[in-house]
Amino acid sequence: MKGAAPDTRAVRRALEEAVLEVLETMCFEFPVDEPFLGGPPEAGAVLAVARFDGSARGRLSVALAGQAAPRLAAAFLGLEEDQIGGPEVLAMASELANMLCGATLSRLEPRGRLRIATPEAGRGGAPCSGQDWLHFPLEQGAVAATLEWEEEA
Amino acid sequence: MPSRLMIVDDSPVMRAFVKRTVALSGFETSEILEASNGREALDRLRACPAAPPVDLILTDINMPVMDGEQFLSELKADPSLQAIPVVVVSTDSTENRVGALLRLGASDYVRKPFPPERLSEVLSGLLGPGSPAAEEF
Repeated sequence: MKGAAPDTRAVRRALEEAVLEVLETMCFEFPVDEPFLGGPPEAGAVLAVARFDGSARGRLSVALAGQAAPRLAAAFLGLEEDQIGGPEVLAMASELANMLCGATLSRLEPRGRLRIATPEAGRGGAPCSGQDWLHFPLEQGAVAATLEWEEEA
Repeated sequence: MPSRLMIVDDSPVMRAFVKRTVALSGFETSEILEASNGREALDRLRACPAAPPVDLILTDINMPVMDGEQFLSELKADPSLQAIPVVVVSTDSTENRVGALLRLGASDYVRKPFPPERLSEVLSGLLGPGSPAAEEF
């Protein structure tokens, strides 16, 4: 039997801590302002989705808007931004979704048994599921993330 | 003595990140082999004439073809490979999963995301002066 969805405040807290931890430790990047809840990110952002299953089921989506994608990929790989192409951006976005998913779920379900599928990444609009996104303004661009918990049918 | 490492991860950017972190840690390596899943890693290790083929393996868990848990089981069941220390580097840090991997024979666990110092600390503990591996020489 799948676990019940955690309350929205717990999800927001876990997601916020996970994003800040990943940005700081893997990309050496710090938001320039407080994170805020809002609608889906702008069209054209790089979007990566990690699905999870096990003692809970759902998906974590992360969107990188503006210059955030090449900037974070460059920091992650230790390269200059002009050395970063589309494949590196998408691969980094996938890994970001994977790490955020693991870091968020380990806070919400520390004793769960979960499997994260290989994330998918691309450019395009975020799904209009009505879900709130947590936005993190960066010096150049922004990161936004959301976690959708699927209820057992 | 420089060490030979293997990084097993299906994400090329994560393999690049780990390689760079190892280099930045000042840890001396003579060779870093890469594989994108457990099956490819076992094939490469078994094809290598050196004994042991590498001094330490860093592996992810969630990978296509053969995941990290199956890889660890097969490696620890192979007499020619079972002494190689294996460090699991993964996003999956639930208590059940970490416990299962340590029981299967993993030497340590690094949860992604990790600061570079965490990987340095693990490498030094397993391969640095005073480590079990260093005392074999």
